[in-house]
Amino acid sequence: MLFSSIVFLFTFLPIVLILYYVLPRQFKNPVLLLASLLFYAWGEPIYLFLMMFSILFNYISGLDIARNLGNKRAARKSLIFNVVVNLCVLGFFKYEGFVLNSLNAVLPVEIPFQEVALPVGISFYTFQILSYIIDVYWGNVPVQKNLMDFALYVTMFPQLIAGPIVKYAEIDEQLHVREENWGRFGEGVMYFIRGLAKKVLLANTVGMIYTNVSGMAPEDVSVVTAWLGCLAYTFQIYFDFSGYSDMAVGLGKMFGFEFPWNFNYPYIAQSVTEFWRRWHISLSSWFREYVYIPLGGNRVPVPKHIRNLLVVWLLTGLWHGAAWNFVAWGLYYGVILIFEKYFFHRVLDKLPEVLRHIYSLVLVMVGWVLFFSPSFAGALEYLKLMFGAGGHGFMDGEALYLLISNLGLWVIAIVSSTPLVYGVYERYVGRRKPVADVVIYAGMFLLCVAYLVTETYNPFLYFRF
Amino acid sequence: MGVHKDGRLDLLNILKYFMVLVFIGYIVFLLSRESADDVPIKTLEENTLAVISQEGMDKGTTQDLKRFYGLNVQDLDGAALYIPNDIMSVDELLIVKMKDESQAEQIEAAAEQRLETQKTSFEGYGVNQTKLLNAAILDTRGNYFLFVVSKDADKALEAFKKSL
Repeated sequence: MLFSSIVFLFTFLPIVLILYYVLPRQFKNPVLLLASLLFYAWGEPIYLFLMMFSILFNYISGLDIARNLGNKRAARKSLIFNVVVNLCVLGFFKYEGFVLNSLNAVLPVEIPFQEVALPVGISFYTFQILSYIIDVYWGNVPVQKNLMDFALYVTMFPQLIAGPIVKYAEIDEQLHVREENWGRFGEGVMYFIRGLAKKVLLANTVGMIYTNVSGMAPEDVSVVTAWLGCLAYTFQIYFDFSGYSDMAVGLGKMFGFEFPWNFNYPYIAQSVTEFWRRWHISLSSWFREYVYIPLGGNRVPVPKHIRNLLVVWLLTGLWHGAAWNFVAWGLYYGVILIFEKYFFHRVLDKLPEVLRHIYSLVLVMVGWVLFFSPSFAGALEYLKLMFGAGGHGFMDGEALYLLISNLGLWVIAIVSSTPLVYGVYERYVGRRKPVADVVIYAGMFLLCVAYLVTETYNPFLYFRF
Repeated sequence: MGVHKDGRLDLLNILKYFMVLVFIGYIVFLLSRESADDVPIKTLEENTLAVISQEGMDKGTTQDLKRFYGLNVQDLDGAALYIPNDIMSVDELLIVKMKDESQAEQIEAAAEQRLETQKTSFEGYGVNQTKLLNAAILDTRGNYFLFVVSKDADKALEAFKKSL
């Protein structure tokens, strides 16, 4: 089920909210759990079993690790067993095709295999589970003895499908004690509507420009057209994913939870390092905490630090997708971050702000080419077009048309990806003018609904991970 | 591992290993289900339609299948057809479940012929339509065939492959 669907907005969510607020405290978690299972089963009934098996296995593993904490060796064995099983399950569903296709490409024999569909949200909920298991092992959190609360942590529908990746330590207490109030509820509604507007009004609209360009024959694409297509995707993926995260955070607040922020205006970053402090924050923080720091982080000699960065970014790339272009995408960022850390930072610091922005955005956009292309070869082809090797000139009528006919949209997308719009809103409306506030949000909501009733199925880009 | 400190294989460990067996059994079940040779045409149709824009096309009839492709539905195990709903539209989807793989050649030829006819119709004046037609996908997998003309043709192919 999509947050940006009529059935979710006008049936599922109202029913769950009513039940949640009408029923006494002891029924609130069961209501959320049942709603979450239904939410997941709506699109993937067969994979509901996988998630339930995963919950049971990890619940038992958590208990096993916790009781062995006094015996470090036994606890460590139990942890390794658990991590291996979780990664094998994730690996099978996500990487089986990639691995066997890659092997078949180099081996003289063809290994026959049957690919299965990727269970939605498996990368997100597996990482959440691993955060719990590792934190129990490290003694950072107490073991969860209540199976239902553990199941709720894993399945909670607001962030089940596409994050943010909520670490168990961040939510442990809230599973037992949380306060729902009108203030938080209202804030949640505002977050949700902002996210919905980002997805429906901005991501889907600007995404049409990208679809248009990506559907063009390469020989018809000029340099500017290629850059405009890439820029459109740059905006689409930001509004799509951050919109989803805003909706998730908003829904969490409606049910009394506080989820971590996932985005902080990444496109205003002045370096790629800063970009990654602002983009998909929950994933970066997961890798930092559970991979980078255990490997030694930056408190090791330079060669080891470089190795650590490359390992983290290779894994980040692989987490996003089982294809060579994602591996390249991850390593691309790993290399840039290493260069920024050891070589560029002195130069970057001296550059004017505007040049730092341009530098960061150009590198990020080149990164998105690796990300949106169906294959590594496809990415190289698109990059050729962007850098003038396409043979269709620098600018043509199509580029001019894309630029002029969407001028308003480009401007809206640019200002909406900076803190400007929200800053103006906070300054002139905010909480000082509640009526205007309600009118603005109600207007945005109605506009979104108007778009949704005429729109076809349009899932979030990050569902594929 | 599996043996607790008192030397016994206790309930918690038995359950843990049992769950691993459950995972394996479940994956075997999924694989056998995926490799089943009888995916209903309706499933393929639903899965494919879920990922493509249906704007520009309507469900076609068995007469349309005969008219545009020269195929008789009774010769096939099943077919789902969506045809352009506007004179300027080229969006089209055909999914066929064959009775056996020997029909593949005939069906591929029929779809190629249809594609050529459409290309000829729009050549020279329908720039966007020609782009879509040039990006059309024809794919045969076992007893199943897919022909799609859509801006989402890649997604349709992906959904088609994953459904089989």
